[in-house]
Amino acid sequence: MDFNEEQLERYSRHIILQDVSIEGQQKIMEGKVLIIGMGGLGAPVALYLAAAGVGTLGLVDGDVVDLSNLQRQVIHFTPDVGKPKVLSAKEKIAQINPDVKVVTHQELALANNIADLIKDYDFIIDGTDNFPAKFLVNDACVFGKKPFSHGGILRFDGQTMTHVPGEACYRCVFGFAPPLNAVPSCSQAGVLGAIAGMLGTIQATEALKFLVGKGELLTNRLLVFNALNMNFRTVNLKKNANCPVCGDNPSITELRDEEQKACDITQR
Amino acid sequence: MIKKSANALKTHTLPDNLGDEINVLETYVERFKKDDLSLMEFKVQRVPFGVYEQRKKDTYMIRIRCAGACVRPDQLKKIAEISQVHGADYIHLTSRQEIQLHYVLVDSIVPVMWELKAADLASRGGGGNTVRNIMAQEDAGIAEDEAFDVTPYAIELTSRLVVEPDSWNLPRKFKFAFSGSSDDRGYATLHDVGYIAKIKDGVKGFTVYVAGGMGAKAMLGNLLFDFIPDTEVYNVAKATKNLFYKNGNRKNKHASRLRFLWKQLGGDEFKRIFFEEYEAVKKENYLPLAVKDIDNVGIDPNSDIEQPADQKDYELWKKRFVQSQRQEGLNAIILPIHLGHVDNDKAIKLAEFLMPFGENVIRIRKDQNFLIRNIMDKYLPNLYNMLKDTFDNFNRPFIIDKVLACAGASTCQLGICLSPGAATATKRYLETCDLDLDAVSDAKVNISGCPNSCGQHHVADLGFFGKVARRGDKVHPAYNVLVGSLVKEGETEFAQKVGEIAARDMPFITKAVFKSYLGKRAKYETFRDYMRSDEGKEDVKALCVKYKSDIPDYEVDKNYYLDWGTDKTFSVAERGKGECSAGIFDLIESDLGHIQQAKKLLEEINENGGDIGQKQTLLRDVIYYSARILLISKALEPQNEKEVYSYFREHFINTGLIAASFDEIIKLAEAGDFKTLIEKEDQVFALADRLKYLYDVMDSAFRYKLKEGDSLHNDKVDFIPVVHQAASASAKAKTASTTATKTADPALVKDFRGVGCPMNFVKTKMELAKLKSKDILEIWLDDGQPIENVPGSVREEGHTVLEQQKTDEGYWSVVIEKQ
Repeated sequence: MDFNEEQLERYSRHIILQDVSIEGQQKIMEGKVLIIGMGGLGAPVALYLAAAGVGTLGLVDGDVVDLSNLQRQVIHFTPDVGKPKVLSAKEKIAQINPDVKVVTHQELALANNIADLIKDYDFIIDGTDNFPAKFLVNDACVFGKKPFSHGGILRFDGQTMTHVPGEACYRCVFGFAPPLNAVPSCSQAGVLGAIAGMLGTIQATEALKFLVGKGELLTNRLLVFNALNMNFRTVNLKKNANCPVCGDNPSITELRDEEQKACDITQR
Repeated sequence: MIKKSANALKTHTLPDNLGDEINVLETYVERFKKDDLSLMEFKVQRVPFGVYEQRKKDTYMIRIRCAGACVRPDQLKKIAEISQVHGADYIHLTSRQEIQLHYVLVDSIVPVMWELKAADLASRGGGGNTVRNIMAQEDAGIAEDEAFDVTPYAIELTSRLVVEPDSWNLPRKFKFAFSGSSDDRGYATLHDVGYIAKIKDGVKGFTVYVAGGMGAKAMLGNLLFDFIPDTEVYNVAKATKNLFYKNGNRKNKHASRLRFLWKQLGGDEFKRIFFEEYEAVKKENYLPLAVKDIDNVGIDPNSDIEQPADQKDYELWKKRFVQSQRQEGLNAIILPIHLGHVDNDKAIKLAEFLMPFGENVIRIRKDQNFLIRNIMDKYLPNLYNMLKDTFDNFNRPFIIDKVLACAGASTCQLGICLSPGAATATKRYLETCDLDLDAVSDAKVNISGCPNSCGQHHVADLGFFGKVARRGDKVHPAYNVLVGSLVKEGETEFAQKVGEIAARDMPFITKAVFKSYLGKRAKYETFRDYMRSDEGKEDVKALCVKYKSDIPDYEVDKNYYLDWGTDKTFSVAERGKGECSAGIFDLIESDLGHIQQAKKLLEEINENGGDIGQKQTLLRDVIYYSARILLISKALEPQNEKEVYSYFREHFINTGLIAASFDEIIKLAEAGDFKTLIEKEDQVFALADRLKYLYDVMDSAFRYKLKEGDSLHNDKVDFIPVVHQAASASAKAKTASTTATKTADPALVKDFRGVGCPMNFVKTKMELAKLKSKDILEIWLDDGQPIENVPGSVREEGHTVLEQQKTDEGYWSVVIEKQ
């Protein structure tokens, strides 16, 4: 354990916490977290994980910063418009906490690269903005036996759950992506910027709890909230024997890309 | 084998679903134990089951319903046995004729409920916003003056109401009582709904009073019906309950009892709504209460007749405690129980003795003593001998044990003063006094620890209720003194306040009042008559003034600043939110009085001219009391003038409650520059006005409900004081050193002097992390915050602080053993 003077001070509020303490902070600093999507959800996740001192942060996003992103994607600033999101984010992380090692992947996470992307990380954050990607992240993590935090937001609503190997996965609950156009995307329906922060910070908290090994994760539970009336509730889930990916007789046995439909992709 | 009479006492019927409800409660208990249920959520579930948390953390009181004041001897035995296993070493009789188990642990709550159920007992509705225990006068069925026995009505109404779900979910608690005659010994005129038995044209029935009650805003019951036939008891109860359920104030706990609804609506409107409900209830054709007479007959256990162990003492006991019943050859016997606490084993012996005498032999008196009944003349010596063998003080002047006190601040979260301590002290003092106390055995001396009337001070001949008083900078426990109540249908009057005394003086003034009465007995037949007379009132008033003027300064006798039964300095602030708001308001009101007095005098001087020195003193008073008045709302108890100003600055000016511009005059006052202050008189007055305004908008949880634009910082929310401030913690830390049994040679010494909080703790943790279990670390800390905080934090993490010692150089050495 070698915390230097500056680290002791920087992380003092973690160290004071009995459930984090020196050992927990050590685990955070040794942790590796991959954030897929550096948008509304990925931004707060990256900011808090960087501030917390997570050892390695991997960032996956093929997009560049758009003016319409700035309403919620708080890691990107006005002068960053036009800059690749992963670079914009890397610069901010370096300013928040130079201790954090940042690995950037300026590409979309797809069936042909996702297994490779996630393999070196301890915990994955799903910060994507479309159903095919969300199911892809789920399938890849189930196959690769990686824990991950699912997150989704729309209008004033948010939902999140945490998968760890062997427990209920995203498909256990939702099966398959809804038909095209059945669910509007952010660019069609809109989203309150601040709820990206609400949900993203929950995902960041889950990642930190996982690294530290304390508390109860949102496994086998789905947390949903509506920010208009500020109601939060958790729905208990069970691993589904008929799950197409982790059930007894899975119909999905390899990763594949489904048709994409998302805010940013359709806009381009 | 217990003999039964034809109409034996049958206690109220438990609801069929009680078992299910206990099962549900069990799931809440389990969740609470697993931290899956917050304290507050658990409280909401347990209180309606009559389960209250006591002041001692993680211990609970369970209150058992005894409808009509009845408990069978086998039930009493069972309760005491349960207490032996799960509770304290005593059971407690309450002033509402119930029995309580104290200091029950959370794991025992559900087992206790099951065991009670097996004995036809339940605590359901013992607390919370429910229909509470339904009372009946304890001598119902045996009294000479009653119209008829009201006990079966209290029991049967209970059986009905406890199965109705809305009885558990009312706006506030809801209390019924029955009296057998106009003498109103059941306190029917002091309850939410009270029935007084009458016979009209040969028909049994009741006069009904509603919306009465004791407590902080006591009110006499209002006449609702001159007469209803006894078949209407249930309908009236149901209609009143419906009215309360629908219209009661659920938001404000402090104005939610039925009497507040009466006040708010006015009597006419209240009655109009009542009769709407009553007509609706009548259309439902509910069956009238299935009232069955209860026999008051002597059951002969055919035991050997004993001779009294001490004939002379026996005769005295008979004179003091035994009364003939209207049933020939039968006797009712008072068994005095000091403060209602009966040792478990004594309760069991009593119960076992009484079991052969049938089921209808015990009542719980409102003054927390037992009333034994239906004992045949020939067995009085047997009873006497058993009492003599079992109870220490069963035969001394009744008044000694009759002094009635509520549970007081030690177990009650609302209390101000330790009323049982005061009662005990009074008892001890009376024991040793040379007065003829048997001549005052009818006196009602009732003590409440706060303005709530659990000690029934409103209906006392000589009553006390707790308050906080201040002498100089010190607060001390005190009591308001009330005299001269009367409870009688149509004539009921509450006791009136005649003065206030230090808690310390209660025994002395009680004796002095008795002595005064005994000297004037020729003029007054009873103690009550004396207390109701002008002369009596004036005498007590004069005694209060005399005792109050003799209260010594803290330096002279610090006992006056401690409450009875504790060696901890009296403090209101250290209690949590809302727990003693009454006491806090006493202090604020007293400072407000000081301010107004000083302002008035200043205005006089300004008009008529006066001494400049006097003016300076008065201005100082205004600014000093203004700065002090609301500190208590933030749990601050300044010890001197300097602290008054510095706390005021920190908590009122720096938080934006008071404009920063006032800091100028505070500084002048701090510096004692009253010359300059005279030029700023307007500002001093403005400050006083602002504080008065804040007090006006302060709610009972001590939050300032400022109007929009009124706060100087818009977003400053004023938080409620919950915990004791660090101010007094420093006093604790100054105890020279604490040494655990072990001593060890520290392997490692780390100097954290000059390192502030919390970095000193962070570094301590860092060092501890490098060590193995049971390794020793010595750290050096600065005085003040570091020594006040770090050792506690270290302990909280499970390590052991072996020693902490202040060095001659003024820093601290703390020796820690790693967990």
